[in-house]
Amino acid sequence: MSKNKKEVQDINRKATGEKAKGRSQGAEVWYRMRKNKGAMVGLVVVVLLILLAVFSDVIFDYSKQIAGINTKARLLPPSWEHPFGTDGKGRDLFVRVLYGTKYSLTIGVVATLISTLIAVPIGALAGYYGGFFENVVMRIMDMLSAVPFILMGIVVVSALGANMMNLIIALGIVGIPKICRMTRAAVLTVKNQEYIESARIIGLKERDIIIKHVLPNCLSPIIVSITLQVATVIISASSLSFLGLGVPAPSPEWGALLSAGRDELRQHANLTLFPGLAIMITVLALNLMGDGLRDAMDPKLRK
Amino acid sequence: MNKEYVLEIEDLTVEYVVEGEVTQAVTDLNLKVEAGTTVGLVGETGAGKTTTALAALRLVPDPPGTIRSGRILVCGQDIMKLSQKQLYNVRGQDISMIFQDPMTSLNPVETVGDQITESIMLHEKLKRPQAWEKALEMLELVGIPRTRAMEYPHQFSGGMRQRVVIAIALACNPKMLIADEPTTALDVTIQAQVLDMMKKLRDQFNMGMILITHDLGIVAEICDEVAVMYAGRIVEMGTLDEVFNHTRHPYTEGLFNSLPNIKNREAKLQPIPGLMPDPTDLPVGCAFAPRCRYATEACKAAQPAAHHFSDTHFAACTAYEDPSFRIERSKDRE
Repeated sequence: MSKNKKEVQDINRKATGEKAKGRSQGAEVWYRMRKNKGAMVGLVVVVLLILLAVFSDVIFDYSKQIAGINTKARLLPPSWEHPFGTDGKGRDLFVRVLYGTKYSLTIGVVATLISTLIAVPIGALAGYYGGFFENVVMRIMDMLSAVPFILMGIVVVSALGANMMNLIIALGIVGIPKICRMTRAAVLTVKNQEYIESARIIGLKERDIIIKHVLPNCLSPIIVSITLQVATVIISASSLSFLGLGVPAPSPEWGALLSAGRDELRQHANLTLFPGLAIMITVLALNLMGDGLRDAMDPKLRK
Repeated sequence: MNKEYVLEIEDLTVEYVVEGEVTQAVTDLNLKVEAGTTVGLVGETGAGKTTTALAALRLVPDPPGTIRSGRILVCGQDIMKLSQKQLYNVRGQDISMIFQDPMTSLNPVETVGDQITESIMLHEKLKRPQAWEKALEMLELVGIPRTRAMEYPHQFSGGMRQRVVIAIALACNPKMLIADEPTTALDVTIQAQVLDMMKKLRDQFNMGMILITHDLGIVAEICDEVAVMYAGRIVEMGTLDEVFNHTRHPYTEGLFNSLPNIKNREAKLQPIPGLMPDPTDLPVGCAFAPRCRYATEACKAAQPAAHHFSDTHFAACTAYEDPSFRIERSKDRE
């Protein structure tokens, strides 16, 4: 009898295509994300960009295509041979923009990683324990966020020297307050849930409660803000490079490309247009993906 | 034969201090729970039932709460004197607690099997596969097929979640279980199932149990002893029969009168007039006096002493200074 019942259930499940039973949270998020077209477009673009960044040295020859000067082909307009045209030193802009992905994504991801590794533990502890410690931490975060990122970039880069690592450190520090606040807010909503109290009752230590019960439940807002943070960092890095504080020439970081194209803006707008578009597309893709993730992870939208 | 008490609370006083105002949540409370029996803790919202329970685990949120005085023995250990490390061992292993709302007392991002395993691995020296196996047995014990261990809480119904919560609480065979309104969030048929199961498990593990509830029907079903709380004090305590059939305290009488009468369905309910006093400003005398129809001037002057009617039965009511005093309810019975 019970076996029959089970068979019927299986048949029903197959008929309705229902697979919800036993689906883990990750699978559920993926399922909902797939239905969001914008998010999927963002995800595909981001994946392509990551692939491009990872394999850029395999695809392109740095010394020849990226840094090599060719005075015969200076400032050519866009054509089939050079889709984005060439710059003042005769280098193909298309190749340079593609190669620039490596810099922008590395800066974006590594700087965000630094912020996250510092901000999440601090934010979680501040939110969980509260009191004096929380006050001190949050006021320090207020102070940090009161410093404009450009100023912070100038300070760090002029103190340590203009190279990519220092740019990353500067932007990593700048990103801390935002993620720290986010984490704290998420922890505050979770820490008074009854399952945290239940965990205490079965004799779990506070440290394990934070790691096993509090943080996993805060993960979705944290992941979302990290995704969006990568986009913010890319823009900031481009701004700093534009000001000459970032990746030194001839590396084709997008901000630096913009800056180099500025002199020819009237006659050769393509030199600023395409790096700008590259920044825009990357940031847009990251934002779409982040928003999609947020929607997919929001428990309120769950059936 | 010496009775084995798994929980003894003596003269417990718990206070909450919020913005300079002192709230007496529990005052001079005495309570003993014997292994294998259930004590029902009954009273209105805010009477101090949950605070008493949390105090027994030394989990009264501090700040704002503090345990002012009192001794709490869990299986003979004075938990006020234990170190933090010893406390971690006592919680879950000697004494455990389940909450009212099964919807929120399970971690939504962990499978139920993992949550039970976690509790087992904390207190028993088992490797993960063995602990997992034991978790599956616990699930079966509470009537959930072991195949569902890999599922997440949101895939379970309310009644099943409460069973999971019970399985977690009982995973390490605690000697003492505090159930804080375990069935309030469940519908009546599921209530009956869960209560039956708890009763069965209590007998099986010879646990002591405190059942916090405001449903007198549940008390009648499962408790051996009943303690009625009002404004932080136990006003009447006795065996089930004594409290239900030989009610002494006017407040307990008021509780019974406010239940619908099944024999006379047209009768109006008789609620207790008024509200519980502000816990930040408790009267000098009996806290119930302002709402009590038997109250005299003497009630308002001093705290009522406990009057014992048998070894197990007492009521804290000044009116019993007059030996001939009887409340209405017991007049009918005698």
